Amino acid sequence: MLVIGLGHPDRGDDAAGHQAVSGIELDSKVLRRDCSDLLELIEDQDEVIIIDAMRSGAARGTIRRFSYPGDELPLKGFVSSHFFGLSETLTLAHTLDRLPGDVTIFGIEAGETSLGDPMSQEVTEAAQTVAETINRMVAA
Amino acid sequence: MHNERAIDVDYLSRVEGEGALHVRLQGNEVMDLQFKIFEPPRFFEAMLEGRDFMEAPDITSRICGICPVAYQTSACNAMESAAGVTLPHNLRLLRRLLYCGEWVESHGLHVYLLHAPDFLGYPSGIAMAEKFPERVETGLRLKKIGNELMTLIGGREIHPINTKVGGFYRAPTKAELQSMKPDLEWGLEAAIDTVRWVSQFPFPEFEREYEFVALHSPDEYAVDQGRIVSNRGIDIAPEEWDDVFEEEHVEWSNALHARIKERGSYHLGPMARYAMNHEQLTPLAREAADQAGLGAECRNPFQSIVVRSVEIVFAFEESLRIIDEYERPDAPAIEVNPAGEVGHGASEAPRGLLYHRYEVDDSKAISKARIVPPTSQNQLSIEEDLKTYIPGRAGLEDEQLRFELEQAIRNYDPCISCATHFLDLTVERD
Repeated sequence: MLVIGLGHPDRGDDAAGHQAVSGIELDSKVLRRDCSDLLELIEDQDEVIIIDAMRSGAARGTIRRFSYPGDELPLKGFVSSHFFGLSETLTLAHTLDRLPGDVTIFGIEAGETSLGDPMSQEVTEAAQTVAETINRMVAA
Repeated sequence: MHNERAIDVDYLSRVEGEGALHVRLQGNEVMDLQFKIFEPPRFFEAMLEGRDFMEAPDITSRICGICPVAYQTSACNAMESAAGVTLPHNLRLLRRLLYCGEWVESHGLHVYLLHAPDFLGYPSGIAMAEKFPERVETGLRLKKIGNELMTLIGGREIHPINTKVGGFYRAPTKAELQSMKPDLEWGLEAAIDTVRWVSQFPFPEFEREYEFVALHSPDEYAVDQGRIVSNRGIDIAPEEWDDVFEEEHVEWSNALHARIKERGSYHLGPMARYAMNHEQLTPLAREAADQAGLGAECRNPFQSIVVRSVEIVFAFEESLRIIDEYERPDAPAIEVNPAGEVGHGASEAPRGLLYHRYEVDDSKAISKARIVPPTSQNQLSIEEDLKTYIPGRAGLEDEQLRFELEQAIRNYDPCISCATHFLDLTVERD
């Protein structure tokens, strides 16, 4: 199993994925600012958990959990400062038959994501909740 | 007024990061055009003030996820030039090799996943992957080899941590570098094939008389260092940047527009480098360019995909040459002391010249930082391309026009994440 936290550490709530990963008790976890090498990271994995900031219009700090390819991902819902968002990258992996057997995504609804913004209290708490959920998944 | 319309692109897909474009048309005439980018470098410039000079490469490499080596290299060059030192031969080879990895990674991604779909009629690299999975796999493998080269030298691929002012924290052994050779040899062949493939694409007929600006070195294709030259007579050292170029605020964008004083726009990136330096290309890259019919210069920005592919050939060929020549140095870095000095550094990011300037105080802290990324330098040229390109296409439906304008912007492989946050495109017609 590999846990991946996505987001920009200097962009307020966009760091939600990094924050959650910091609370996860597992050796195989990585932080990435964007999805640029996500395909390579996941290609030899059986099970992957990805945590990213999300923009869906929900209240800040809202957590949504998806399985891919079972659930439809919001194509532009995930905050990304790069061309390929999470949904697009996973879709590409699926098209090229490179998807691990089990992919779980936790989206945390972001508020401010400008450079230099602090992380909001709601997102900090949501990241903690996600970390606890994943810790239980790992222990199970 | 009748027949006037506006088109906005709210989200430019397949451009690194996001920006915004607003166009106002009256009939076929462009009444107003604003290409807006936001500018994190300003944030990072402020962040650098008061930091130790050794932190400059690490902090600036966080500006962009796709060209961290460019930011590191321009920062290191600036600090080393302030201190009056130059890297010994083998350390410099390593820096150039690391940079080749970034070119392969960034160019491979752009050519295959971002730009090729435009010419083959797909809305995205993902859609293209359904019909051309083997092409997309080739692009991904090229990108992966670039990443691996960066990981080997830089410590990790996304924000290399092994780079420092004066060299590296650890120099790899020759055997470690040689382990990359089979992949690099595969990549060289794949890149030559890429040039053949993309040179057959249907390109719109469109040319402009650009002033091409690039680094130049007489003995090599300039990547990590050189003088700043142009096809209209510029020939300066990086420390003379302010004598020739200026940055100005425009009201619709918080990015600064760079221009040549009293002359205007200029064009950076693969086409500029090729125009100024094609004689310095490695032999197979030159041959690939000749076979693709590029000639001495290419002024059709849509064909930048061919030039970019030629540069992938170069980057592989040069990497193999460097690995053969490299001998592990006794020390991985040299001492650098820029206290009380001003330093200027330039290097060729995949998308063009990246200029840094630092003032360092007597306690070795940075008192002033200035970063001029390639995309904000190309901004004026992008706007002029669009103004020239639109009138012949003004009859298109908004959606098709929007797609074609995005395509014209993508020609520049703009790293908008080093110059913007989210991109919106609006076209207004009355």
